[in-house]
Formats: sequence, structure tokens, C-alpha cells
Amino acid sequence: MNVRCFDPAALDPAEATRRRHRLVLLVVSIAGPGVLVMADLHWRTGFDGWKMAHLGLFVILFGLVALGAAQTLIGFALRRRDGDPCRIDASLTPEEEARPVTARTAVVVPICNEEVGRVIEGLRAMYESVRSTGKLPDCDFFLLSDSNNPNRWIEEEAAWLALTRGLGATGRIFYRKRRGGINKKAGNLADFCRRWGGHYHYMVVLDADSIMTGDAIVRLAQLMERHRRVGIIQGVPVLVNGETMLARLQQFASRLYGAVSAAGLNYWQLGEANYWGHNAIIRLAPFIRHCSLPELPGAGPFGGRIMSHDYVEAALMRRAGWQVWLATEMAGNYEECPGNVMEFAQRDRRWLQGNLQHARLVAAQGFHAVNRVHFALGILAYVASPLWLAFLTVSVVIAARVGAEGSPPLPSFSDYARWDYSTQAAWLSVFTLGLLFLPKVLALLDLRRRPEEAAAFGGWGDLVGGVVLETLVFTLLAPVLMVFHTTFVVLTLCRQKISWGTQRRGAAGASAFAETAAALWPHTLVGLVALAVVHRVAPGLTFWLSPILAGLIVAIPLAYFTGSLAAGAALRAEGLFKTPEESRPTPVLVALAAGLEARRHGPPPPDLAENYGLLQAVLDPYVNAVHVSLLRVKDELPPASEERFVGLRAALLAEGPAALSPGDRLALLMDADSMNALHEAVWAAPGASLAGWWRRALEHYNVIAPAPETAFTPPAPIPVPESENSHAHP
Amino acid sequence: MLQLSPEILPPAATQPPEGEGPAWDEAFLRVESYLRAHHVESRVQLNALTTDIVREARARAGDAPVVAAMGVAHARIGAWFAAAGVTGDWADGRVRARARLALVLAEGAVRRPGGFLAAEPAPPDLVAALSEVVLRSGPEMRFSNMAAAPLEFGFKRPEDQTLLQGSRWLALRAAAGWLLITGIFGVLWAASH
Repeated sequence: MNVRCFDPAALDPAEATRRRHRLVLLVVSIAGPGVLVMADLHWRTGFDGWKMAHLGLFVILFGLVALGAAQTLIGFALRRRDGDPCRIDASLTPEEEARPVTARTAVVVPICNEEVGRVIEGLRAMYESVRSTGKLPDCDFFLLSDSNNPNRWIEEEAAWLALTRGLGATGRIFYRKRRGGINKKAGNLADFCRRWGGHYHYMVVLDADSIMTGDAIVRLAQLMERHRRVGIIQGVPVLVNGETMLARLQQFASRLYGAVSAAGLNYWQLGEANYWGHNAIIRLAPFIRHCSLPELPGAGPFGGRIMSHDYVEAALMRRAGWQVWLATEMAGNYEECPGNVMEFAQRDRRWLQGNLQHARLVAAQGFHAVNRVHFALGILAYVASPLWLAFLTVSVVIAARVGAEGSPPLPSFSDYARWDYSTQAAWLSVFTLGLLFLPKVLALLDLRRRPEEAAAFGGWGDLVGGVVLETLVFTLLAPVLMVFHTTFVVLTLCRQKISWGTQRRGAAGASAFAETAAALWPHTLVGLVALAVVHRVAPGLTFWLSPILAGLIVAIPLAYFTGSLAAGAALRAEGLFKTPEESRPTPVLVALAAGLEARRHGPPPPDLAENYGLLQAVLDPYVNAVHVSLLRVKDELPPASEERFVGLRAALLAEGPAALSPGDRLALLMDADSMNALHEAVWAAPGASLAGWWRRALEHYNVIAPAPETAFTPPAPIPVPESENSHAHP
Repeated sequence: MLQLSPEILPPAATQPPEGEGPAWDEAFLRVESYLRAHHVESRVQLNALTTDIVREARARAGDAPVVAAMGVAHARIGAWFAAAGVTGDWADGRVRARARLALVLAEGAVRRPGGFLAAEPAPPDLVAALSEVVLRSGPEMRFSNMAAAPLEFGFKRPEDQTLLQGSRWLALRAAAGWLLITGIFGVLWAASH
């Protein structure tokens, strides 16, 4: 069969330029009239400094809205014509799709204090899925840990070993723990590349909450084999496994609108696409050679180590002449999302600082212009919030000044549209809202051509209901995020440190009221003060600003409610926000859910929970053995170090873990000889000489207590319900 | 018998306790718990092994009961591993850890409940499994040099002149484009006001 497939190498660079010119033309065509109408509004009441600033802010913000609308329009048009012909995922012939990939591939999962059960079950599902394809025989999996929480670290080690034993995957699934987490995730991946990168052709990078089908991983490897000048292929992950209302909202919205938007992105990015840090495949040789991150000159927040590595790695790859593509329609590619507003904001705070740092790179030598655009858009994605806040503030000032002057506005500028002042302002607002909602309308129209997919969303009733509710909730949440982002930008510019926390996903992401109230009371206060001020100085604006003010005032209950598991479950029961992945889950998602269900352990005793990892590493003979075996053994310690460890061990035994600092506990956990010695010593010491914490810990192993649970604990027999017994033996 | 390093034991551990009864009860409980931590779950086997170990420890004088009983327990475990073909100096903590690792990798306590520390010799398949297991946490290292990519800002060096010229041409084109767009809107504005 002769099938014409897209060949990225044969892509005419002039075609890319033409596409980008068309996009700019469309953006200008959309934004231009809006800017003219806004300028005219100001002209009618007389220009001044405030209005010039207002117009400048409007140009930037409206330009961004127009860019989103233009991209969606293009994506919609392309999908109506059976998709963009220039797609990397439309570049394999059926023969190439059927052919196994012999190139060595590593699937790497960098983790840092993530929920171990989710990570391990994700690995299990992916490993089995890849194996079932039979097309990627030389694929190894790596769990690359930077965890510095001893509980997580110890659990990871045992769970990894149990996984490899359970799957018969010894020598196929590997575990590496770094002693120090230098340079965060980028350093973690660089460490992998330095140690083992030479073994592999390709590296599939996943996040702790990513999951991909075997077919998707194979497809990425096949694409890399086919296109030898492609350095990175970024997949577009679908959000899954959301349980809270907010998580379900996000996964519904991204699933519904994502495809059209991604088609629009691919239209102008082509071989200069971006890398998002996960759910992507990387050609290792050029990555190792060209993409090691340099330090930026100067101190933070704009200098030092590069925090958001992905955009920079894509730019470096492109600078070295390798293409970077976005695989917009590759199925079987998933990730999870934050469960509540605070988690969402926490993630944004991390990304924001990294993106602001890219301001230095916009002008660095050698980068492709499109990569500079990526940097600039990444910055604007967050700086847009303070700009929006400034725009609103200036709007109120202008309204107050115009109201105070009391002079009637001049007539409209146009002979063709003789609007009065208020009508013209209202039309401009309607136009802006229309652009904001255009992607939603286009996504629904796009879905009309895919009735099966619409049915998988729960049918048109649920779909439209979902879109309306999602629009309402995100309209109220937008000002909450605006205040968060503005605060983060100010903190970053004031050189306040931003800590990189671990995200809680899925059920663990449910919000707590106290945490919500503590994080969001300033938003409520800002909303109330703004309402009072606007109502006093420009009462006419109160109605127009009411969605924004309402979002701020109800921020606490809104965030708590949208972060609730109960609300998520209720909406699910009603069929709202259903996605095709929920209606028709792929086997890999089914396997993940089953694995997580089967692995639910009881929590450790509350009085031991804080140092449960240390407890297991010291007391459990098997966990201790595995932990010690995974540590680097030093032949001889310097006397000073040995003395320090002797003191730490004695303090730990006599006073318990609380007597040691977290750093000291970690130091002991990293010393193989200390862990050996502690295992022997605690078990052999009379209770009277041990801290109460250790006596309590030893009780945990007492024969009358339930068996302590580790990854090596034999599975308990499943109890047969009485009723079933009675049926079996009448 | 296993000798534990004196520095690791708190001072009270080497003193015989007063009131021998409760101290031996504690020793019994400790050995039983330790064996259970090895996944010996059969109450009958646990009781028999623990009784045997504590009886042997009581016959020895000098150490505190817990120390003595755990010493015997370690020696018993060492003897079992030696009989199962795990070699090395059992007094070395690393050897003991390696033996426990072999047991967990061979899933000895899970697959053969009652087999670990049983009086009968370990079955040949377990012996073979204990001798073969290796913990492979990563492939062989193959070091790759990953030097930081150079980044330069501004145009200060002489060789940058070409870049500067190219950049000027691009900047001129972009400026001309934006000037044209602004001009069109300027004309529209002027025509309508």
C-alpha cells in the first residue's frame, strides 16, 4: 500500500514562515478593531496619562486573548479538513507502525517525595503495557529518586524491589537515589544521562503522575527511528484520575478544548515546538551533547541555576540543529492534575519563578526566534495577571475621573457605527467575552463531527451542562489566580525564595478548610475592599466588575468546595464532567486503578508515623538489608565522621528520633555501617536502655500486634464473606 | 556467638538486670518479635524456636538476657544461612545484611513458610536461589560527559559581528512589519476621526 506520509525533513522552511505570518495577521485582524474601539472610547472622553497606560495594557492583554482565539480558529479549521498535513504523528506508514523498534530506550521517572504507591503502580501498568506490545524489546525503566523524606525514600526502595520481583523485571526496572538533590529535576535527569545515557538511544521522560500506554511509548520510539533529525517529540497528555471537583473540571476542559488548541499550536510551531518536561521522548546523544543547562550569571531570582529546564532544553536542542515536534494526536498519553486551588497555585508559583528567569534567555545568542517567542509567552502567561490587575485598577481610576468631570463624551468615531458611549463600551466587552469563549464554542462544534466521542463525554446534555458549569467556576476562579500570580510575581521580584513542594494529586489533593481559609482570606479581603472602593468612586463599574469581585469575595468557600472529594463524586454520579477516559478507560488506566485498589495499606500507628521510614529501615530485617545494600559502602570513614556517627547513633537509641535533626537522621540513613549497627543494637538492647519511642516501635513487631506492613509483607488471605461461605457449604 | 560492638550498646545493656524473671520474659518477647520480623508467622514454629533460643541463652552467663538471647538468635540464623550455602564472616554486619537480602530476593520466607530456620536442611531450590540472587539497581555505568551548554548574552566579541548584522536585518524586518501594521491602523484612525 502506498501511503503518503508527512516528512519533517522535507518541510519547506518558507512554509513555516508563511504559517507564522498568517497567524500574526489573524491576531492583528482580531485585536486591531478591539484596540481601535478602546482608543476611540478614550478619545471621546479626552486622552490623558491614565488612558494611555490603560490602552497600553489593553493592547497586551487583548493581544494575548486574540492569540488564543486565533490559534483555536486555525486548529478548528485544520481539524475540519481532516487535520494538519504537517503533523509528526501522521508520519508513519502502516509498515513502519508494525515494525518493532530495536533501539535501546529508557523510560525515566524522576521523583521527589511523591506518593510511592501511585508511582509504583504507574510503572507496573506501563511496564506490562510495553511488554504486551512486543515491539520494544530493549526498553528499561528507571525510577530516579531525589526524595529527602526518609519515609518516602525507604518506602520507594522496598516497593521498587517488590515490583521488580513481582514482575520478574530484575535488570529491567532500576532504582537510583541521589545523595543530594542538586539542580532539582534537571540535575536528576542529567545525572541519569551521565551515568547511563550512553547505553540508550532514546529517553522517554515522565513525571510521577504521568502514565503512557505501551503503544504510545512504542509510537514515540518509532517516530524517532523514522526521523533522524528530530531531537524531541513532546506528547500532549490528557488529564485523568481527577477525583475532586476542580480536578474533574480541569480534565474535562482540557480534554474537550485541548485537541483544537493543540492543532493550532502545531500549525505555527512545527519543528520549533516546545518541551514541557514530561510525557516526551528525547534523542539522548544530542541531548547529552548540547542540552546540559548552564548557570545564569548573577544571583536569583533571574540568575543561578535554571529552574524551568524544559523550555531551555528545547531551545538548546533547536540551537544545535535538531527539530522539536509536538505530537498532537497521539493517544494513550496521560497525566494527573492538582486537586485543589492551593495545589494549583503552589504548582504555578514554581513554574512562575522558572518562567520569569527565562527573561534573561529571550536575548541570548543563537536561539531560534520561535524559541524566544516561547520564552516570552511563558513569561506573559504569568505576568498577564499583574497586568490584568493593573488594567482593572486603572479602569476604576479612569471611570472615577470621567464621572467626576461630568462632561458628556464626544460622538462616536465612526460614520458606520453610531453608538453612544455606554453601548460602545458594552460591545467591546461582548467582543472580548466572545473571544474568551470562542475556544469553547469551537470545541463543541468540532465535536459535532465526532458523535462517538461526544457520546463518550456523556452525550450533548451532559456536555453542554459541563461547559456552562466549568465556565462559571473558572470565571470565578480566574480573579483568585490573578491575585495569587500577582503576589508570586512581586515575591519573586523581591527575591523571596520559593520552595519546591511536592504536589498532592488524586484523592490526596482534597482541600482542608483551615488550609483553604489561611491561604485565601487575603483574597476575600481584597475583594471586599475593592467592592467598597468601586461602589463609592465608580458605581457604574460595579456591575461590570461583579464576576471578578464575586470570585474574590467567595474565594474561601469556592476553593474549599471545588477541592472537595464529595463534590467531585456527586458530579461524577450526575454524569457531569465525564471524559472519554472515564467512559472507556484504556487497559493501562484500568491496570493502574486496580493496582492502587489492591495496594491500599493501613496507615502506620500515628505515634510512629512521622519516622516510620526510619523505623522500618532500622528494625525490619529485610527493609534494612535492602536499604543497606543500596547504599554506597565506604571502606573507611575519616575519624571525625565516625565519631559523629557514633554520637548520633547513641542519641538516636537513648532519646529517639526526635532528638536528632532531620539532616542528622538523613545522614544516618545514608551511612550503611550505621544502619547495620542500629539494626543489631536496637534489637539487642534491653528495653530500659532504649528511648520510649523504640520500645513502642518494637511492640509493633510483637506477635499479638497486626503484622507490620512493608512491600515485602506476604499478602493477607482475602476473607470470604459469611454469606458466600453459607452458599458454598449449605 | 555473635559479638556486638560495645560502642553501639547503651551502657545498661551489658549489666545483668536485677530480678531475672521479667528480664527473661523481655528476652523471649524480643527474640519472638525479631523472628516474626523475618516473616516467621507460624505461632508453633515461633514458639518452638524462641523457647529453644532462650533456653540456650539462659545456659550462658554474663550478658543481659536480651543481649544473650539475641546473640543466640543471630548465631542460629547465621548457622541456617551457612547451611544454606551463604558464605562469609557472620560476625560482619554487612555479611548478615547480605544474607537477609538474599533471603528477601529469593522470597524464602514467603514462598516456603516454615522453611526459614527449620531444623531440616533448606531445600535445594532455595539454596540455589540464595546463591544466585543479585540486587541490580542499575545497569553498568557508562559515563557520558555532559558539559554545560555555553550561553552568551549581548554581542561583545569580534566574531559576533555577523550575528549582529543578521540580527540587525531581522530586527529591521520585524520593525518594518510592525510599522506597517501600526501605520494601517493609524490611517484607519485618522480616516474615522
